[in-house]
Parts: sequence; structure tokens; C-alpha cells
Amino acid sequence: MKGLFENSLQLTRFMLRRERITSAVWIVLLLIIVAGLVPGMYTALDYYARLELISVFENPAMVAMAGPVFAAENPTFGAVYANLMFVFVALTVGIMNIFLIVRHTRADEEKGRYEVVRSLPLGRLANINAAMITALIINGILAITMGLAMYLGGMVGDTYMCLAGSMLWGVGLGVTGLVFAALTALLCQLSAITRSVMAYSFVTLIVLYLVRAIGDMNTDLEWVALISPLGLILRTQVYIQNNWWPIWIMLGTTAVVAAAAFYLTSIRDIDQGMIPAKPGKADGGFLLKSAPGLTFRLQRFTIIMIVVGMFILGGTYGAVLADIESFVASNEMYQTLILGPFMDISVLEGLPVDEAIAIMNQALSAAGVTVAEMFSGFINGMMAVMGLAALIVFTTKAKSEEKDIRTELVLAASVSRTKYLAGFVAIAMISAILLQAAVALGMYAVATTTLVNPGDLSISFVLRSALVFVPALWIMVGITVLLVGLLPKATGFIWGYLGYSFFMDMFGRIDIFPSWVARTTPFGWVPLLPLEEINWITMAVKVMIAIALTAAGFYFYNKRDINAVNH
Amino acid sequence: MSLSVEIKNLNKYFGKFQALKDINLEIKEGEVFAYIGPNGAGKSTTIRTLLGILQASSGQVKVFGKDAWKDAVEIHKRIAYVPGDVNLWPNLTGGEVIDLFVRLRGSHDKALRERLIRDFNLDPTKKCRTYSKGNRQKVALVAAFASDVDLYILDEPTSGLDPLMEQVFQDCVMEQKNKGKGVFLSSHIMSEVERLCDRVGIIREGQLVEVGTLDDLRHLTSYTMTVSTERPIEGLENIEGVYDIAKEGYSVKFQVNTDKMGIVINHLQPFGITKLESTPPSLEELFMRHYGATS
Ligand SMILES: Nc1ncnc2c1ncn2[C@@H]1O[C@H](COP(=O)(O)OP(=O)(O)OP(=O)(O)O)[C@@H](O)[C@H]1O
Ligand SMILES: [Mg+2]
Repeated sequence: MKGLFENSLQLTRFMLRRERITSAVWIVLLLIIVAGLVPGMYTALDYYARLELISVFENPAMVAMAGPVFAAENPTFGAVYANLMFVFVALTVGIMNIFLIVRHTRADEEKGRYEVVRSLPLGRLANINAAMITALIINGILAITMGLAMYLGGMVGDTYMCLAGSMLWGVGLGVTGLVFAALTALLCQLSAITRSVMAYSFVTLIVLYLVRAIGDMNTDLEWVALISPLGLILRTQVYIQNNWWPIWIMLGTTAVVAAAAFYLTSIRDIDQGMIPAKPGKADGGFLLKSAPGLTFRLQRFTIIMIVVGMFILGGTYGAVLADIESFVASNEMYQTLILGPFMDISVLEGLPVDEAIAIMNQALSAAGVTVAEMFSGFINGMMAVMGLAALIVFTTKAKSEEKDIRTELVLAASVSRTKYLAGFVAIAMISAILLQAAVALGMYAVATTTLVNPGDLSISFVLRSALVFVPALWIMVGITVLLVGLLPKATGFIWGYLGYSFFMDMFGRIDIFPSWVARTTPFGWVPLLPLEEINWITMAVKVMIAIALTAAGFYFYNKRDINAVNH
Repeated sequence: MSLSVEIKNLNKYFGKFQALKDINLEIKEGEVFAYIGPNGAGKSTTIRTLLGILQASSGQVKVFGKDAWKDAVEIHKRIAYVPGDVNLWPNLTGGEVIDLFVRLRGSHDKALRERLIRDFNLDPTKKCRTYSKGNRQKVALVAAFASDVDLYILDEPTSGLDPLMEQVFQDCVMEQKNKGKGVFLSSHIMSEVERLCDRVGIIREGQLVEVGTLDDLRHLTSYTMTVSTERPIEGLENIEGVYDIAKEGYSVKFQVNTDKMGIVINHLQPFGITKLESTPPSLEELFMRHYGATS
């Protein structure tokens, strides 16, 4: 057993060198987006805006999305901001770590680079050990800089962002990163194909997110949320109680999972996974006749998985729609927010929940809307931004194929560039409809069984409120196509824009920004049903913008060198 | 006879770096042309320009009389391409990839496909990620030779093949050559080039330094001569074009430029030749000379 880790530190130095740009960019962007926004958000979110925001997020659907609200009793800026942002920032750090570990373990191995490294006088576990140490160092840097940045950002005013809380926030993010690094290292042992490993890791991430949602939604099942690092992290209650116990649990988990990954590495062969590759068909099926067919064939499992995932996610929210009625009936802020336009809410004061619901529904139905409808509209917006991530992956697959030097093989086989790219774009565009429809149907299917009054939510309304986002999604796909055609090295930009859109969607629901700010993303131009009406002219304009962006992307793709991304 | 490839004043820049400098080249249909040169000379860059995957910075590139960039799709119906480093989709099997490429090129000769799979000793049911480098190359080669095309563009297609498979490959090329199909072959394996090719082009640092048949190229260089005579040879070193003289008793070994051969034989005659051997330079030596000129 001696010498298994030989020369790990040399290798770590080499990995850190390779990371000096990528990880630095991740960390700097995170610092800017999370801590850099603090002063601006502090002015935007005054005490009353915070109360309003808290009520919005106390709604069961939002708890499922962002976790429970702990900041209600003492809504200092720091407490509210950290509370609402934690799950999403932690998710981002998780994604950063998935990429980090895959890059240095399985991807290197599949590309044949690891073999060269292994031929050097290194221990058998040196590589995975070095990758984990690299993750430790990078997450450590993130934790410290993030903690300090939050503390400094919080000095603008009465934010109550103390040094201890800020450091806990930073360390919490770093430790969440470590858990995902260890999980990814373990999953990297399963398959020899980088893409599969990546898929396993992201599915794990999403499952852990959903597990947290289930635990957070049901107070008597809170322990379920503690299974997930994303649930644990929230229990630190940064700037409120500053609990450290979740950190220790997560560090322990990291150690156990990493040990399992080390063990599997030590017993498997290089270039192999725990799941062996099975022989396949000797002939190409009917899909392998055209370039778009190939593109679909390569991604069909991913597409199916994501559609099913969105259906389940929609169903999860459908399940909480029933609770929402009673929630609205008993929450004053929501009454103002939602019922305000339709009735005098003071009549509800002091009424038992049942009666309040009845009165409320009466008022709403006089206006032709239901509480369930209002929330399905809300949720569909969030789901649209989440589904967008998949659409971006489908579109940028054109670039990753090019990077792996496979595009030229297909183009050399008498396929026009337009047709080649069209396969990727068509899949993304059609998926935009599929994903939105899947969320709507999932929500409808579950809601009809849980709603006291199933007629409150009609299938046509749910579909409409989901599909109304499709033109905005197409615009985002169009921007991605343009990047692939014109600036293939800068496609990462679209992820930043997605993050920004999500952020706007989250904080834009209470009117803290001037309306033009919300309109800096295509989603800001989507009517929120049923409060707003569909304007077919703006819809048509959006579709036209999407077409123009896409066409421009094709134009430039036809004009540029292929494989330029590798240099 | 019409031209399959016609390159005029081709320049290619990557940013400020000039990868191809004023390349001029014509290849006839049905010709087997070898394109050789040191690493990084610009062979793959030329080939990718021929395929319309890279756009020429200036100059003209035509394949079958059509513009390589604008009419790429039309041209590709008549060509098959095999790169040296074949990257395939890890989740597809070799058989699936072969069918894909053959169908995209618009041909479907099932029997030929089966025969080639057998000749190349390939298991088409394996996932591409489990293939060795040589086997991945075989997948691309089978897909190329199973397609009915007029020009094969091969960029170091055999860098991973074993000697047995190298033989199968050469047979395939000969078969196509006999059918009148053209081949554009970039290779570092000189024996392969010597055996298969009608003409050779040598590229160095982006410049096409030599084009011609093997014999043409030999004319430009020198032969190695070994001579034994009855009397010791004198005055050889005074003849222009003779060098690297090594005497060993009555036997002398030296290099002589091809055009000075007659003069040298005349000079040797009076010394009473008992044995005379002249060896043409091997392609390998030719290239060493051209490649070596860099430094
Ligand atoms: N997209 C690119 N951007 C920048 N430089 C490039 C690009 N593609 C090729 N080069 C450079 O152009 C030169 C020629 O490369 P090329 O691949 O054509 O060489 P080659 O003759 O095929 O070499 P080898 O025998 O190693 O395959 C090299 O110096 C290479 O680094
Ligand atoms: Mg090359």
C-alpha cells in the first residue's frame, strides 16, 4: 500500500497551474455577482421591500424553490439576502466543482492525458488525491475571499452582515463545493465516458435539490432536507443564528464519499468504469442517415430525461398548489399582493381559514381567475429559466462536437453547415416547447388530484401560461446560436446571462427595480398570466427577434473556420 | 485530363501566424498524390482548406473544378476523408458510424462494407470508446473505402495500423487506383508513399518546396556510388558535384549529383573499373535532405 499517494503534491501544483484561469474566473464572477451586488441590493431592498419579499418566499411553492425562510422574525438585510440566495449560489458552486473534478479525472483519462501522467513515478491514487486537494484549495480560496467580500460589501449600511456570519457564508459555500467535488469523484469511477459521468453528476445535483425541496415543504419531514447538502447549508442560518454544525456534517460526508472514490479508483483499471461497456448494434439504425438524425441520436436520452425531469418538477409544484389557497387566505402580505386588485382584503381579517378561502375564491372568480392559476403562472416563469439551461446545452453541443474534432468528419461527408447546425438548433427550439409543456402537464396532472376544487385550474390555462414563455426561450437560443457562429470561444457568456435572468426573475417579482431593468432580459417581456394578457404583437416581435438572431448565427457559422475553437 | 485539385497562390493565416505561404499545386484526376513534410509544416491545414473546413485567407482552391469553400457540399459527394486522429462518438458502435458516413455520402454497397470489415478485421458491434487508436482508424477507413467516391483525401491514415493492416490499406488504395480513383495522401511512412504514389509534393514551413514524380525528385539530388578500380583513383575531388568521398584502398565511395554522372564515369574509365555500384537515394534520404535544410 505504500506509495499510493506518491508525488500527489507535485501533481496538485500542476493542476492548480491549469486552473489558474478557469477557476479564477468562476471565483471572481461569483464574488461580483454575490457579494458585489450587496450594496446595490441593500438600497433596493428597504425594510418594507424585505417584508414583502419574505412573504413571497414563505409561500410553499417558493419554499420548494429556494428553501424555508428563517429570516422572518428579524428581517435584517443580511439575513434575508443570505437566506434567499443560499440555495442558488450553493448550486452554482456545486456545478463549478463538478466541472473541476471531471476535468482533472475522467476527462483527462478519456482523452488519454492521464496515461502519460500515470507513466511517471506517481502513486496509483496520486491523481484523484491531487484533484481532491486542488478542490480543497480552490474551495478554500472561494470560502475566504467570499467571506471577506460579503463582510466588506455589508459595510455599506445597516446590513447586520457581521464578520462571523460572512465567514460562515463563505465557508458554507466552500464546503458545499467540497461535498459535490467528492460526489463527482465517486461518480467518475462509474463510467468511462466523460459525458455519462457528467450526466450522473448533474442528475445527482438535481435529485439532491429535489430531496431538499421535499424536506423543506413538509415540516414533519424536515430530516429529509438534511440528507441534502443544499438543505443542510440553509440550516446554518447565516446572519441569524450562525450555526456551524451543518459544516461539520458536510465535512464528514466529504471524507466518507472521497474515501469511497479513492477505494474504487484503487481497484479499477485505467480507462475503465465500474459499469462495463456493452456491445451494440453492428448497423446504423434509421436515425443515422442524416446529420440532424445523428445529432438527435446522440442526445435523445438526455432529451427524454430532461422532459421527464421537468414533468416531475411541474408535478412537485402541482402538489403544493393546494396548500397555497390556505396560505394566501392566512397571509396578509399575499392578500395585498394577490387579492388586492380584486377585493377589499380587510373583510378577511379574523375569519377562519375555510371561510376566508371561500370569500377569496368568490372574489377571484368574479374576476375570472383563481389562486391556483395565479401561482401556476408564477411557477412557469421560474421553470422556464431552469429549462433554458437544457436548451443552452443542446445548442452549444454544436460547439463541443467541434471541439472534439468530430464536426469536420460529418461536414467532410457531404453535409452543409446549415444543415449540420440546424440539427442542434431544431432540437433546442422544439425542446423549448416540450419542456414548457412537460412542466404544465406535470403540474396539471398532480394539481387535479390535490386541489379542493380541481376546476380552479384548467389544462388550457396551464398550457397557455407555460407556453407563453416559448418565444423568450427562443430568443435565448437565438443568442446562443449567434455566439456559436460568431464568437465560439465566448459561448460561456450565455450562462452569465441565464444567471442574470434568474436573478431578475427572483427579485423582480416585487417591484424593487425600475421596470426597464426587468426588461433587460427576454423574460421581462413575457406577460404573467392571468393578471396580464397575451399581446400577440409583442409575441410576434419576439419570435421575429429570435429568428433574426438565429439567422445571423447561421450566417456567421457558414463563414468561419471550423476547429478554430481548439486554438 | 481534367484536374481533381487545383490550388493557386493559397495563403492561410491564423491570426498573425502564416501557416501556408503561396501554395500552387495541380493534381490530375485518378492520380495518387503524396503530400509530405515535417510536423507542423501545414499538411493538415492544406487538407482542411481542400475540404472547405478552413477558409483560404487568399488564393484559389478548387476541387473537381469547384470552389472548395463555396461548393463544399457538392464536392464532398465525390470525396472521402480520413484524418490521422479519428475522434468518434463514444456511445455509437463502429458499425453505426460506418453506416452514417457511407449514407451521408450517398452510397450503400452492403457487400463491400461487409468485405472491408472482414479485411480490416474489425468488430463493428463495439462502442467507439472501447476501440484502440488503430481500430478507430479502421472504422474511418472502412467508411471511406465503402463509399463510392472519386477522390480519397487521407491525412496520415495509417499512423496507428499494424503492418498487416498497413498491407490491407495499401491493397485498398491500389484497388482504387486501378479503378481510376484519385488519392491525396499525407503520410510520414515513406515506404507507403514510395509504393503507392505517382507524384510527391514536399511542404516545409508552409511552403511547397518540391513537386514531382519520384524520379523527378531523384534527378535533383545525388546518387551514392561505390567504385573499385585496378589503379588508385585520383583527381575525383576536383570534379564539381562530387562530395563525401571516402577512400578505402582501391575502393571509393562518394556522392555524385545526377547531372554530373557522365563526367564522373568518363573520369573513372582510365583507372580500370572492376566494380561499379550506384544506388538512387531512397525517399527517406530525399526527405532527410529537405527536412534537414530547416536548421
Ligand atoms: N486553428 C489554428 N490556429 C492557429 N494555428 C494553427 C491552427 N491550425 C494549425 N495551426 C498551425 O499551423 C501549422 C501547420 O499545422 P498543420 O496541422 O497543418 O501541420 P501538419 O503538417 O499537418 O503537421 P503534422 O505532421 O504534425 O500533422 C502549425 O504550426 C500549427 O500549429
Ligand atoms: Mg497533420
